[in-house]
Amino acid sequence: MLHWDRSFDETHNLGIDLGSEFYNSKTVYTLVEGEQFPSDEFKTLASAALITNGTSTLTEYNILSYFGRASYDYKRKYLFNVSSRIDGSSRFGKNERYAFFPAVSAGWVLSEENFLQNNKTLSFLKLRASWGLSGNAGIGNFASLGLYQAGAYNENSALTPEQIPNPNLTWEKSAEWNLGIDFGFFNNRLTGEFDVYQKNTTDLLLNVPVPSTSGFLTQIQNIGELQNRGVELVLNSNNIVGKFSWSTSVNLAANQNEVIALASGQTLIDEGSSRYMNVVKVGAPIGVFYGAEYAGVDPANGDALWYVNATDDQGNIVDPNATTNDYSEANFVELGSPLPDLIAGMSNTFSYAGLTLDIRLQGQWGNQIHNAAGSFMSCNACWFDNQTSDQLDRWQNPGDVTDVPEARLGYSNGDQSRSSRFLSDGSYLRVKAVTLSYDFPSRWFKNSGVRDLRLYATGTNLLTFTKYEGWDPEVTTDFLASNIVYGVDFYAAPQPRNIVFGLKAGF
Amino acid sequence: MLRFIKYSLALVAAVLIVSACDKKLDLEPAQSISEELALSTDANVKSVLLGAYDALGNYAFWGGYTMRDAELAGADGEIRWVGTFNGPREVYNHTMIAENPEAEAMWNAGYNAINIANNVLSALSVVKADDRDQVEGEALFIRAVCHFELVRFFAKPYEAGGNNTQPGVPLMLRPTREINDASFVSRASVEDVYAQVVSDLAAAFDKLPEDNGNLANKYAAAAMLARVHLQKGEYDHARDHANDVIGADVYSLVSDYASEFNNDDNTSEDIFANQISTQDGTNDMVTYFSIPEFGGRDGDIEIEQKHLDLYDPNDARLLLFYDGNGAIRSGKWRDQYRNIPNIRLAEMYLIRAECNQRLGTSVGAPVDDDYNATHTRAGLPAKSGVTLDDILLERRLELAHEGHKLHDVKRLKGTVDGLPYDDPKLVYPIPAREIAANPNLSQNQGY
Repeated sequence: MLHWDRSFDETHNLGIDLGSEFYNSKTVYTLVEGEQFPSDEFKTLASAALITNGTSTLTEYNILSYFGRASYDYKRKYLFNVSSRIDGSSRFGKNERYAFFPAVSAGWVLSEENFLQNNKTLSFLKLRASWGLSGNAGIGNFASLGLYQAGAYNENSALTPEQIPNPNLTWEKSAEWNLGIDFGFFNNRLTGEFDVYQKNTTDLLLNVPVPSTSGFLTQIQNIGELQNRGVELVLNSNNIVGKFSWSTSVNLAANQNEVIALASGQTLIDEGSSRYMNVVKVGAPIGVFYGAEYAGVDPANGDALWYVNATDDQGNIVDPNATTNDYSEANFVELGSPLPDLIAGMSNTFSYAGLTLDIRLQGQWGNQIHNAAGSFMSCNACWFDNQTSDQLDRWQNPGDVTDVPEARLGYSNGDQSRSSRFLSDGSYLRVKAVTLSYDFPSRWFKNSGVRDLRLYATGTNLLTFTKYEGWDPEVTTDFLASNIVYGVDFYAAPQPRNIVFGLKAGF
Repeated sequence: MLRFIKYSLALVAAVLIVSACDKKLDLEPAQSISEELALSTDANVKSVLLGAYDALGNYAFWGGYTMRDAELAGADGEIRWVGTFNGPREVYNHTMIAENPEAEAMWNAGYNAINIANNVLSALSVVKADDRDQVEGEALFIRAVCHFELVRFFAKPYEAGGNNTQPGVPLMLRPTREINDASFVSRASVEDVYAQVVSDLAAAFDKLPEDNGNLANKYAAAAMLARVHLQKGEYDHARDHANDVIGADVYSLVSDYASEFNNDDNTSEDIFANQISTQDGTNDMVTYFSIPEFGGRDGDIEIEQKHLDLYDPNDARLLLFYDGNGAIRSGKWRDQYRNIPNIRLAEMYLIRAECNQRLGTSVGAPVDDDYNATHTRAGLPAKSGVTLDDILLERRLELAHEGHKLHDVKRLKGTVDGLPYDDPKLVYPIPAREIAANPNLSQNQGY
């Protein structure tokens, strides 16, 4: 790497970097398991009576980059930056490994200008603008190759196709522009940042379902375009300073996500699962819930009903009120987004004479959560699984008006998971953590070897305000997590409410 | 100037390092080999062929679902699904939806095996000349079995004597090397699928050796031909192919009915058995029919009294049923890690008996003899003047819970739970994922 910078008359500051980088990641995994050691003194596998398991794997990838950057500023007031890089990754198709990623940015520190320099209220003000292209190579190490893997039949080794080649696989690219203001008021007692951005991602790296008549289920392809745009605000304020102090920090992020395009002629990627319903659909946020719209229960006979939602040639719903008791007759529609419109966090810290109270709140609004376990535990006793208590409202007699269908053990009556019946509003506000602590005055233990001493109590997940019908709206079902499937609850364990008391000493 | 030279040298050095690195972007995986390599040598192609057997024996195909689901969908009160999984419950209740996971898994498994077989067929030129016919025959056998199972589940029934233009399933006769326009296939007619199945099996019969260890041999192909022609109602062909198998005198019925099941090795009666061991293979019949004590799930499938009532009280086949986890279970699928006899000699006797009876012939043996082969093995007295109904009942008992039920209802134009044999509810949906991935596929009625 070459680095050069120079300042001319303390006014023109110029810096240039040129370089290249080679990155190799190699993961070697070896496992041997042994059981039955004579006693605890034997610590190596050679002493195991039974070797019960063993495997080893190796995988690697390389990235080769060339980059350059030039920066210039005039009196630290007008700032310019131009950079570009060429990255090559071993993960991509032979002909499509390299991509070029340029970026430019400019900043203007207004508070350095004469007309603001002595302003008593405004202590810092900077405008920022940037545009850049960036790349994503977040796929398996050999995703572009046509491969066979080892298998076995009748204890003889076999070979089976593992994945279909895609020699044209290349970088996913994002073009992002950003406009921002950094500000400080009242001698920087109130500081903050406000940003507006739009990011368009093209050549998305998606695991696209292919006709399985090919012998393959999916192929990693570059398709489509995704747009993210939004605003972000961060505020930090020292509301009261002095013996008693109070500071607040707030962050807000509102993001809109929309799939702009898929492969030509394609409007939907649906893996066709019976249990999960996140899809990629043009015009909707990525991972949008797509399934049958639940219409409640027929008061006459207790049958579950769905809206038919049949569409005409233009895609308009013909009769929005038409319902059916046959799930297969219900056309799938967009049912809601797993992505929140707004995510926010706030923390307040109060301190007085060594006593500190810290309160952190977090929340999100506008997203739906799919309780995919509902088809087992909230299915009006379709089977022997324990049921949630709201299923007691089941239809029992003609004329009953309820949204829980008649209980029919062993028979399907509205238990299909891909249905708005198991969707609910995932908005929440949560008191995430409260900490009360006391720092003992250091003079108390002078010369004792103890440097500081703190007594504290922390409570996490103390209070949650939500309309979510499942256990925990801050849900993650880890085994499902992907870039498409989220906002899904499948028996995810709720987070515990912890209260911890502690004493912390520094020596 | 000196500085310029210094920088230039550094730049040159950087470029040199970088160009040496460029080749480092060519990496090969350690746990996989390239498609080219897999199909380039005799040994590798034979390994791929074993991969095709492994795929055929997948849990969702000849390792379980094709047999289990023919029993569940054709249960008619003789067995009962009581497991927690809602996919098989939909099959059993005839309330399948297009997203049904059992249908999707079976479809995917079948076409996966077909693609592997097609890959083998595309690489015959690198196989040793002496083995080439055998390898070709085995791949054709596997391809035919898969198309046959798929068309039976995913299409309306074959109507004997009809022109069978109803949509069947896509015929895949070439390996997939890339996803392109040709990957978006359409459904061939039921007639065309059956024709291809018969032609593949006939070629396999010609090319396969008489002995091929536990893998497919000439008689496995003949037995499948008998089964396929029976499904088509072509009784003369079915009879002749069954006769080919029996007449070869390679196989014999085991003396004790129970010993035909739960085996590690092929029995004298097994024409083709999916090989399962603790190391590889899955016996998903055991998973669903058996109970935890023997390695099953929770006893998801129970045998109902309606089925047991079909047997003569002295029928030894009754003894194979056992009481476990609060219900009667099929002892055919009791122990885990045991082979699945997909085709066995008893079926050939019953096909020959049925066809001879229908045609008024006695090719190979008199009808009574073939009927009594299995009937007397079950400890029952020999019968004479055997009728078609006798044979069909014998078939139902002898081959119970081995994946024939639904298909027999369809060819015999019977009913299941009050549904006529050609009811759309007895036809699987084309999986929703497949319809979404391939707009050229039409969905079946009612989904």
